Amino acid sequence: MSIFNPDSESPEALAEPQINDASRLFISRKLKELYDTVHEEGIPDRFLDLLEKLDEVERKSGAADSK
Amino acid sequence: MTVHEETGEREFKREMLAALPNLRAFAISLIRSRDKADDLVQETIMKAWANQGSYRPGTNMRAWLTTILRNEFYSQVRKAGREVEDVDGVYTSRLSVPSEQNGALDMQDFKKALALLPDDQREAILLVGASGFAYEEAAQICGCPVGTIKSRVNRARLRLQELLGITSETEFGPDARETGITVSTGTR
Repeated sequence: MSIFNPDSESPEALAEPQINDASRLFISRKLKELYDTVHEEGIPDRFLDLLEKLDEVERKSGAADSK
Repeated sequence: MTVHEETGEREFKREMLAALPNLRAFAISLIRSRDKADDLVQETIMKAWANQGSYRPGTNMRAWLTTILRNEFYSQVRKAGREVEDVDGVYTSRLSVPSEQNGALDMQDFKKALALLPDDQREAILLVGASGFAYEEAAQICGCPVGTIKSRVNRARLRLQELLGITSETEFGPDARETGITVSTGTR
């Protein structure tokens, strides 16, 4: 109504039924948990290696270009 | 190569690394097959690297990468002719009925319920509810109006609530108290 807050939906803004706050909290907690399990794994080596390679290729071609 | 360019590149790589865990979590949650998700992340990294000229350092790396990943995902889906993967048996196995004991609802059930959502709803609730994007950012990532994202998120929540059987207050378990719910029946 007054201040625009992207994280809050006023029920009147949506002409659809809304779930109650408890369900919403429950679902958002589960979603966070879902992501947390992936975050805990860290970045797999394949991606670190890939970035390293991309970096290397670019450094080499950069060095070649400047000659 | 100038010193300035060199610094810019390091910065790009650093921002990218910082954004990767969240991007990967989105990919895995969106398509469920970890192998496919990681392949998709890999392609996203390569695309992003090739297009780093179009990224302005210090802007929203997460949103930028997520947009690339999403576009890549849907172009693959289109190519594959909408085959539905059922890696973990999520579609064929039925949701277990939430048990009475503390409304114990494990992560498997939650994943199954999430998998049953239409793609656009799952995507919307992941972007807003888990990736932590504002509705506006999610709308930009998906290339649709903010109202559409809000509506999809709302429908996703309603459907999850229904699938998980968490409509009843008594099924919230021990955490219900912090949410301000009064357990009215005498089951505890």
